[in-house]
Amino acid sequence: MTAAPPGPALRCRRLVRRFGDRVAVDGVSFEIAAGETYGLLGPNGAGKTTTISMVAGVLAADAGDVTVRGRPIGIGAGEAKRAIGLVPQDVALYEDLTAAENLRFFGRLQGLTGPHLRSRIAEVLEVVGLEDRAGDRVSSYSGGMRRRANIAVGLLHDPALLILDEPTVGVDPQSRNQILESIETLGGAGLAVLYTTHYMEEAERLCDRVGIIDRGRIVAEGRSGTEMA
Amino acid sequence: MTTLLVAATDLRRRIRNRSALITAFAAPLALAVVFGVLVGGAGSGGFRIGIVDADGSHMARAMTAELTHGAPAGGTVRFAVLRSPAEARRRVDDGDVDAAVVIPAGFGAAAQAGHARSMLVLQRADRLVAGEVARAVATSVGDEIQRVALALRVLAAGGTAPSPALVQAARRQPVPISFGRIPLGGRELDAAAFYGASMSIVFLFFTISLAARSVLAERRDGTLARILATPAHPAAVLAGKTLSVAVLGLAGLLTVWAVTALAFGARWGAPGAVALVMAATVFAVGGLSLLIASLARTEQQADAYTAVVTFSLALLGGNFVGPSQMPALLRTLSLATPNGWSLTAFTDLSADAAGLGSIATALAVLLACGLVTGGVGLTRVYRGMRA
Repeated sequence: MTAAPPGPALRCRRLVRRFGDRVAVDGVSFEIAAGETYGLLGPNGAGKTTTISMVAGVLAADAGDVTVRGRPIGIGAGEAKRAIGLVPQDVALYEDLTAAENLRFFGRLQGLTGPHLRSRIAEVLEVVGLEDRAGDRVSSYSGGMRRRANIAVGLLHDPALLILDEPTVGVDPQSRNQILESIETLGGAGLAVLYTTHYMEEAERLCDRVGIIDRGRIVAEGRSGTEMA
Repeated sequence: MTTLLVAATDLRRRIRNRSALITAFAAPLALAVVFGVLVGGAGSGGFRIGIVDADGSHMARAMTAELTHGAPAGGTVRFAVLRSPAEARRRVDDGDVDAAVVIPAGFGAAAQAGHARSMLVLQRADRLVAGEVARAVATSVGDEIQRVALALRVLAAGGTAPSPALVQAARRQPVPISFGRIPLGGRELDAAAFYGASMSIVFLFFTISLAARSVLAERRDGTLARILATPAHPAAVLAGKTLSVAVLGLAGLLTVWAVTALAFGARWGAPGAVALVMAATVFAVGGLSLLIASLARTEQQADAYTAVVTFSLALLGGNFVGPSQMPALLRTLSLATPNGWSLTAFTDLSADAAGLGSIATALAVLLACGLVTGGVGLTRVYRGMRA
């Protein structure tokens, strides 16, 4: 991870996204400081995934702007995107490739090459406990292993901001606990984390601050475990 | 860099996923061989007709010699001299020859005396075309012999006996069968080459549609979002996906070319020109396939649209019967399809009838088709990636 510039790791201002007549995200604003874990808490369909898709530059916003470490997100926003690690809600890996091959592919897309790429692959596989299965195709993995490999790809390029979209959905209790422990460790290491969930107890356990989103708007925001404004 | 990385990864995945290999290589090759053998007699070299001289007269010997030596080497119709009607029957039954013509004993004397004497044609029930060829040979030879004999008899009836020189000259007249071909060009169209090209083009649509289909699949699986979250430009990603299937499609065409040429002796024509037409065909079909698949919102829709358009264009373009065998109107309409232009170019090259102008026109049309349809298709897919 490179040294953090002054200012927030992520700043979203008045983000809006419509799908036809439906407004999925309606003026969402929040900031995340370096080393902070921010929880976006809300029911299904509240606009969490649409918000993080705009934050990650996957989806264009109809209005508003996103800056990552002071740089705007958009097509060709290489520096800003290099600072983001995205862990989608569903396991987004090529099942017919091995975990190592998946990591190599996404690592190269992030601009990693040569010995640095190889060492990062080894490191993240160790972090998620898959170093012994690196050469196996993802199709042979259990659900929990796939989730962990999914997180490994997000961590690979040592991002300043890690975006986790409901990473524990459909995971058995043991794997869920492993994932939560990993995220606690990452948050403690200075990484800014944007974590979406609809489980209050996960938000309370992991997040420094929580924003509650409903019908595309942040309806409350505050420090975890305190009364929210 | 991104384009090559995406293309290489896509190719690796498609090679592991054998269905893409079947679409690109195995299916067109298998169908090319089947169609070539069934329709064109690929590997048989045309018709082999047996000739039995049971007469032994000077006229019969001359006829047999003219047929066996007059037919061009490597031609569509070849003759083999057989010893007896029994041998002819056995070899026709065994399939050693496709049909046989028997000149019966007394045929020459009967012809000179003005009496009708039929030749016998032996054929198998399942080789109707070969039987018709043998019958045509017998009829043509018989007619000419009757004409010469009649002329000699007219001279004799007029009180003037034909001179020995005239009789000898009449006997030396060549058998009135010519073995010229439809003057497409320097050679006959090669069925194996035609069906190799034809079936490859049909399956090229399916192979290249995999690019747009994979964008839809990756959107469903979430890997597209993950890619778009990296610094990679979406246009470079799409270019990589298109490049991978273009390489696969071109490799399929080259494989069918190599296998049909080496295993079946198919003559595709001048290699440089064939390679150019192949590349232009991949470009044109690639553009059209992208446009078709870009209209779909799901993989199932993409499959259905591709199948309907592929088979419609194949029927219209002459992939199954060949443009030359289509009615005039359809032959003209076939040139509204990339298939028609590509097949016409391949046919001309195979028949050695391709002028520089005709190939250049075909190449220009194919490139224009690929540019227009591919441009629209790529724009639509690109927008879909960002939506």
